[in-house]
Amino acid sequence: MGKKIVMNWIRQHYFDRLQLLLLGLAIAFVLNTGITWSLVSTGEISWQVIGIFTLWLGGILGAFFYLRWTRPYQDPLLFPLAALLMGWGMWLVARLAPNFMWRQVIWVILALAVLVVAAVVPARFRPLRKYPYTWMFGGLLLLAATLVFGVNPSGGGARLWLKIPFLPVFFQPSELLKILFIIFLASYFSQQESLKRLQRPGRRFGRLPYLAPLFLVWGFCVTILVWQRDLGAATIFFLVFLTLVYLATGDLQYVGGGILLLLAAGILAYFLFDLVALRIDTWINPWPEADNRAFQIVQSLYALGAGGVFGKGIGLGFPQYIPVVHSDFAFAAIGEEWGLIGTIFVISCFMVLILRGFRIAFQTKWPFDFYLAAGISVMFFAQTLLIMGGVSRLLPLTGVTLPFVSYGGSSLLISSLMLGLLIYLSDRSRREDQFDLHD
Amino acid sequence: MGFWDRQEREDRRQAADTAFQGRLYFFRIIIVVSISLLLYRVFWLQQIQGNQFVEQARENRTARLLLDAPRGVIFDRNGEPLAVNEPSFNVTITPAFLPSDEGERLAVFERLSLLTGVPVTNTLAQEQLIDAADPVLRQQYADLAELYGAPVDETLDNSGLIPQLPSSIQDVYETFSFAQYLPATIKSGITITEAYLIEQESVYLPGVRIIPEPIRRYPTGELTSHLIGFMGPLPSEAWLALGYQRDDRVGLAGLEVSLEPLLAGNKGERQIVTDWTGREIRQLGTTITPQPGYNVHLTLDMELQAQATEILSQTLQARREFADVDFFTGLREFREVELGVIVALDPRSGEVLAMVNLPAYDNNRFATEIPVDYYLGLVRNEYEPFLNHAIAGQYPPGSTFKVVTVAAALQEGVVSANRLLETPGTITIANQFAPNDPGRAQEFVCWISLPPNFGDHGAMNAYTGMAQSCDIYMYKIAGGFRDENIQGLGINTLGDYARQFGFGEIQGIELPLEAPGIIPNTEWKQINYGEPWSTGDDYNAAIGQGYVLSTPLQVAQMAAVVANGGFLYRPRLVHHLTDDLGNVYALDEDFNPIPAEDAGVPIDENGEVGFVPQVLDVLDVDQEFVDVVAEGMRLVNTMEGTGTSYIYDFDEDQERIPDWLLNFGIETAGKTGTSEFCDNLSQRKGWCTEEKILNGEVLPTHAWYVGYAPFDDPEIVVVAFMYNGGEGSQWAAPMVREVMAAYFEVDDYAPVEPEDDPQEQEPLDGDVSSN
Repeated sequence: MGKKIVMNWIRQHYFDRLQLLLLGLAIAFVLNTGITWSLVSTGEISWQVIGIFTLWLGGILGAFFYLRWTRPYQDPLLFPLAALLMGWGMWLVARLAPNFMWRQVIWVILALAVLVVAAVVPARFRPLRKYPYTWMFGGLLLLAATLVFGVNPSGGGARLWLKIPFLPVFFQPSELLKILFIIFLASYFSQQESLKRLQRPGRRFGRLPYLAPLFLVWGFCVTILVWQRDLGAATIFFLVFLTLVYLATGDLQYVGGGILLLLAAGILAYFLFDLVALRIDTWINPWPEADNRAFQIVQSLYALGAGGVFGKGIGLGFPQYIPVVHSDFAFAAIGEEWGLIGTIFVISCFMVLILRGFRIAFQTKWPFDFYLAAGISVMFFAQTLLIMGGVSRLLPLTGVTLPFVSYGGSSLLISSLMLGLLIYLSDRSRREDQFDLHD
Repeated sequence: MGFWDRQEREDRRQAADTAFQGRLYFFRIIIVVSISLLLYRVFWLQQIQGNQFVEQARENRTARLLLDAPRGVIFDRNGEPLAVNEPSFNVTITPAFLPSDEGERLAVFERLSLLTGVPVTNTLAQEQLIDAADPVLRQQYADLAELYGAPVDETLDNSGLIPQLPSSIQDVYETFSFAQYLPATIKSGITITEAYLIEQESVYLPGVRIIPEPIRRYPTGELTSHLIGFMGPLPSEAWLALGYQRDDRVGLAGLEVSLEPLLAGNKGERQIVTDWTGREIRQLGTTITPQPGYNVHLTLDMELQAQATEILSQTLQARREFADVDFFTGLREFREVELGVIVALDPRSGEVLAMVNLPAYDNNRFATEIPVDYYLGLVRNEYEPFLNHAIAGQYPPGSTFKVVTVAAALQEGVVSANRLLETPGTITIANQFAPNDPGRAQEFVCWISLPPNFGDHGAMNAYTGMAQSCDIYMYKIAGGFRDENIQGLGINTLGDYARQFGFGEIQGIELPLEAPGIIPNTEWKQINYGEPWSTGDDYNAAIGQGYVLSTPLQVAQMAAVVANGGFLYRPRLVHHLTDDLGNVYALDEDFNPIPAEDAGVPIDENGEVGFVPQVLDVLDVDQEFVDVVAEGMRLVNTMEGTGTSYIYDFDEDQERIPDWLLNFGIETAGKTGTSEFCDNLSQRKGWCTEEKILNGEVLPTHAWYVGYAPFDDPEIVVVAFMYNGGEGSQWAAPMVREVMAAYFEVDDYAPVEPEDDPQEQEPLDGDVSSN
């Protein structure tokens, strides 16, 4: 028993230092990037850049020290990773879409606040667990509202945003729905009754109760796809659902059936929606239409190719040839300006983040916590895989953001919220380890 | 210990289940595998494949260039060019390749502005214009705008108070910034010297390009503007779907629009690599060569067209200088005569030899851009210079229509050709609802009973009725006359024959906006006026008045049917097409090119392309009756007829040869027409008022004449029409005579001199209701 206390103490001590070291490295990288960008664009170190960096640094350090004080047992890797990605994304937006620079800085500060709140406030998620249907229904209502009041801040395209009254700000309900969806599933699976229902075919209705949830969620995703033309969100929701079902039941039939349904929906959508057909066509062979329908993806491939191993350096490539590079194609811009090193680094960051998320899920003591941590990790995984795979033409392109990096307030806030929850969960399970020792 | 805590305690056991851990491991493997795939993909893109991409992507990027196909050239029947392409250069900006920094971009714009003279912004000029505008009006509009909460600037812009400015560079940039990669034209039609100047400065002008673009020239300009038309920018976004690009020009009028797909050809394509300023580095793959448009060979005889235009313009001028004298008051009055039409057809095939409209416009002025003042001047002209009145103007054909009436009556056996009918100056028909009430009876008059003639025709048969254009004769055979036991044709039968002569239906010439004219019937009147058809309506229709409307082309068609013995040919302006290799094509009625062999078009050993006429209808009138009508038309041009002009005043016109071309061995036939009109324009001008109609006063008249020659073997039909021209025999017939003289190259045709002292007001050739 005493040994365990010592181990814990060492681990804690070591983690503390590790976290400080990592944060230091992240700050150094962001500072370096900012200075380089400033020199490249204006030939001097501009006050603007210093101001942005200071704001970011202040936010990071404030959040870090507050979390260290309130959540001493937190996972040491998560926060430095988020800080790094947010800082990087900030410069990327400044470089690619200077008009949005200050907006992005404000979003980063707000996101840090949300992260801290999410990591500190939850007390075992009672209200969340108690009223899963209410939350989910609220989220769906918001989503439905976009059908009526939806706008697209950049003019054309899918109208996935709601205008916040009195502020020049737009909000994307499908982002909020992500976390509500995970909470709903976590709450659903953590109740044994529902699990039993899933695992055993009932006598009266055969396999219907077994399959009903699958079709229900599939229908929900298809609805999102049809109403909102949001291919990315629909795919992500379905993948998260399948993963959690698998984790809960261990039944691969479910996963197989689900993937078949996903493919069926995809094939149907290919013939029904021009947008989906375009994405698939340009994925299979973009070259014949390189300057037309496939312009975006081809420019993205060029950008990645142009970057080579070491990249061109920030401000020295031409990633702005890619339409909407600052949101969906941030990864391609990184590929052009930071090269293979940059892309491998970003992928590694996300891989670490996701695997840490699963590790946290491992360590949780409560089913709800388990599903929540796993769901969040899968959400990050699906999102990063879809967009990075899409940009590099490994997968068909789906319009989702790269968490923390892409421009976009809603995505940033929700990603931070999810990360904050992960931090909370990591802290809680380790803290409970300690309580166990004292039991 | 609430319920939830208990629940959680139970749940804990489950979480410890090792099965969960196995699943998590499995899932971790999936994550690692997929991320490894992603890593390999990125490595492949950036390292292995990367070098190849870098090659393609270095300095960016490929662009697909559409190569414009040379537009087809239009020739007349003798090979004279009517529409050709000339080199010209456009200055364009491509928004994507302009500097993204606003200051740098403005610097480029300013340099470009110096070079081209196009202002960077219009703000200053706009302010100056606002300052120069009438301050009272400006204030009014501004007050109104504020009152209604409208934006003041926009209201002033749209009020027409301030002239619209040409687009500035900034305007063009903003308008086209959504089409980042397409060059947007700033100034078109610059000279090659200016083009070189700008190219020299290209280093300082990223995103600016000179694009050579042929512009359309019309060597014959105003002479053929109604036929050839003109081109302009895409009228709507819908054209983009047809494969046009935003800066393309398309036909907007005349043959340029009706033959647009044939003239335009198919674009070629080239994939090129450009540097970051958008200039070409090299080409990728092969070029798809453009397919030039078809060359169009018209049936038009340009020489005759030019002569006819001169004749029409001089006659209009002469008419304007000629004062009408009111018979009763002796007041001299000059008529407003602006609009005239001459159409010449080949009656053997329907080929249009000449088609002249005045007023005309110069289509060359629309070659690069639409000059606003000029365009608005034309649009506001009441005589609609843009309209091809020969096919789109609908006017009462007047007495020319009697050809149809007589032919129909003979064929239907209403009268025999030689039967004499009484033709007093007026006849009365009883009101069909109150036959015994003389107060409600309607009186129909013949033109000869009106001032200055106050006469009558006595008795007439088909020949003399035509020759003298006797209205009473026509009334009787068309509407019936009880006293002489004549069962009239009735409008429906008359209408059937009229359509066989080409009236009331679109004739299918290859020009846009052809009008069908109106041949009414009983049902038509019921629908449009809610009244039953009356005998009086029959009477009016018999002399081409009342509801009957036709285009000048249709009147020519009618004469052609008589001339060729009963065939209604589709009037044609396009003789044949040739492609760039010289292959000959015929144009079918759906505007598809058909290879000459398939279409049965003969080509002789000299390469002369033959013409296959297309029959629309065959006249259902026996040849003997057609001959009667033809003879009647011949008599019109003799001392017996109206066509000799001034028939009621032979003393003054002794020298005039009754059949004008007879001394050249060419006998002619024709029909005059003097049709009363009361259209919107005449009402606006006050020429035709309700009051005048009620008082039975003189209404304004159009002058018509249609003739063909030679009488025995007709080669040409000519119709002349003068809007508000007065007497057909006096003003239209001479024009036809001159055109025919020009065609046969016989007389040295001379402009018509106005008469010095006309004694008489011209008689009316129409009905004037006495009640």
